[in-house]
Amino acid sequence: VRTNLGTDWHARALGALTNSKTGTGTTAPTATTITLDDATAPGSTSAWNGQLITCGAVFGVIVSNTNATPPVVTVDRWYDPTTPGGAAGTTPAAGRYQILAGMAPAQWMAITTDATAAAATDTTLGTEETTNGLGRAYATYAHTTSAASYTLTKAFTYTGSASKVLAKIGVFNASAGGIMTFESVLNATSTVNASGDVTTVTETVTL
Amino acid sequence: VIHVYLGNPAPVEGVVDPSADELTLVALDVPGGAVTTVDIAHDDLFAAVAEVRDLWRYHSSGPPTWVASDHDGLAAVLASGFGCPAIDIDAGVAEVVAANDRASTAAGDAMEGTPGDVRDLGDLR
Repeated sequence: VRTNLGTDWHARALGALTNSKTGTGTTAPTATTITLDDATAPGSTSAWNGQLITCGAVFGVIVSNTNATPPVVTVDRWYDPTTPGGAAGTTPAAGRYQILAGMAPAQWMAITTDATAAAATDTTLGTEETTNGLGRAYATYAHTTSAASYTLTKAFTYTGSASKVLAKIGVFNASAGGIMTFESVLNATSTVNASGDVTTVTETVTL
Repeated sequence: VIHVYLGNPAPVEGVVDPSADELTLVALDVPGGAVTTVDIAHDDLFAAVAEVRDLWRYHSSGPPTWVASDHDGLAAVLASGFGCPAIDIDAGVAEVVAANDRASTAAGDAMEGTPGDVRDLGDLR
């Protein structure tokens, strides 16, 4: 199911070269925030939700902002562009920033034991797994030339010991929080029983 | 990021029936075959192999004809598993361009009319 927020995300990702912003910060960013020192209050606390912001050699996915002067933008984390699915990148120094037009790609896959039917109105994944190798992870992207679909695939390697019956996944555009663009019940549940068990999930997205 | 390219002789694409929310895989007619591109953003090769093998069935109804990657070890493992040759990464990238050209040509051949035709498209307002 493409969620309602996912539909909005898709439209803005493909068609909106707007809402970008650039400037220079003087306040040192933290691991998840950056202050737009030369900007005024943007008018809402979701002015740039889902967009990318760059600073120095790293980028982040914006998950919220304060509606104040100057606005403080919260990102999910800082990314090293060479290893977006790896560890968080280094927190940048204060300096030039740029909020990019368009939206951050939705490539993070989360999984849950919740088997409730997926709904377009859902905005979060109920009882999302966060530990033992089942936490939200950067999925592998694949596309075939001329095909009107692509896939996101993740092999989750379980490191826990309690049996879990995995039933549904959500696709997000951030490593934490962010926009849930797609939600799908697995075509068959997958049970992990012991550390080392691997379950591989492929989500097909139609264009 | 690890890049993998696979020669795809029998490409398929996903189509969803909105009334049932069910995925159907439909064959694509691409003379000469297509190429499937895979971007892997982690360095767990065990997981990478599992992921490529799992995703392949959603992209093709037949085995790949070749595999190329900027990670030689992964290319070798995938080629062995799929029973196809591993080719040079530059050759794989060139195949992506060639496959797109073939698909564009096929799409052009399928269009009605000839270049220069002016057709009445009616009132588009």
